[in-house]
Amino acid sequence: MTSSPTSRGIVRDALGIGIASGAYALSFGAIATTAGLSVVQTVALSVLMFTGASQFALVGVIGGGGSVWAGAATAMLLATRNAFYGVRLSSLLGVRGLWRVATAHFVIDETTAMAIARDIVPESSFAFWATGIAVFTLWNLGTLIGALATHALPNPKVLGFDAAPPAAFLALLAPRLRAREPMAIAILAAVVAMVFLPFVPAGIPLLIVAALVVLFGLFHLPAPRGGEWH
Amino acid sequence: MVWAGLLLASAGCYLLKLAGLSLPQQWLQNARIQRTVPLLPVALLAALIATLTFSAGHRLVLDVRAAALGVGAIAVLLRGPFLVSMSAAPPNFAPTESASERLSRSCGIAHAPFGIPIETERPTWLSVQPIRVG
Repeated sequence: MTSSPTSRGIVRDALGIGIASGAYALSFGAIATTAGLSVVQTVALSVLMFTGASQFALVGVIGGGGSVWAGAATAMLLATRNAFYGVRLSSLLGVRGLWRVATAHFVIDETTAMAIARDIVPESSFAFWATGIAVFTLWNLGTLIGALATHALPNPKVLGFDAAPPAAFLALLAPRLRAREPMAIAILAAVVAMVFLPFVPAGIPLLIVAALVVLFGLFHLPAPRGGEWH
Repeated sequence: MVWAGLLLASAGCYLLKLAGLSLPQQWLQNARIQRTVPLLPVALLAALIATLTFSAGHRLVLDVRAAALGVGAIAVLLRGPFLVSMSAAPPNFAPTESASERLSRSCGIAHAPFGIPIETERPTWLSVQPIRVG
């Protein structure tokens, strides 16, 4: 039974996260429009994809001259972590059947973090949905406003938002660099991407990096117990 | 053409989310997969930062974007004010601070079985108040 003070605390946290997402979405709307997407396309991305890092990656690749397909592949590769959030949440939220179809759309960093911070299932579920609804509403609203405001400008590039995705990615990346291995991988990935950049179409260096990560994981890391890898 | 790409990407991301919720847990609990997947965002974000900052078409260049990134890096390191701030934060942003503090604590103790640190994305541009994470 969720007590009232706990509910209020969860709602307050969810709203805080929602407001932060909304502010972030303003910049996404601006960046996507500057990269060349229409307002409708930008809002559709926020509604249908609804995962921030992937959305920024997609518009970042397009804005940098890559094809939408390279951007789509990068976005999906970044979204693999959401699959693992789902694994963690499936037992925590206790969703079954058709309800999973609706729940899946809201499996993102923020909702997962809020859900797993709770000890009991009713609270986890409440935290997940409170955060999910708050973020979905404010993220999309922010995207719409950011896109419309930028679209209204005669020359959006004057705002400099075409240079913004790297700074946004830096804020996403920095918390993940707390150990030597991630830091080494980040530096290596950056170097590999730049090495390939003059020789392959735009966006392809990212997919090369992803392929190398997968190969590294398959062949370099210790075999699982009982495994027969070489 | 662009629409097709956007819809495909959105469908792909949605299916990944659904897969986690729906597939039998054993399918995704392979140790190698669990140790590889957290590396993907790290590598991809780093590669994105590098290629978007230092490229002009097919050439590597050093221009004002690198300087902008440097300023952003300093801001991230100092966890201080961001590059662009809108007018003074209204008082009702106090909940944002406590929400982020709460989230950082829960991120500290929260351990997903796959060891992925879960952090909240925070705004860098157009932010209305510095938000501390971690």
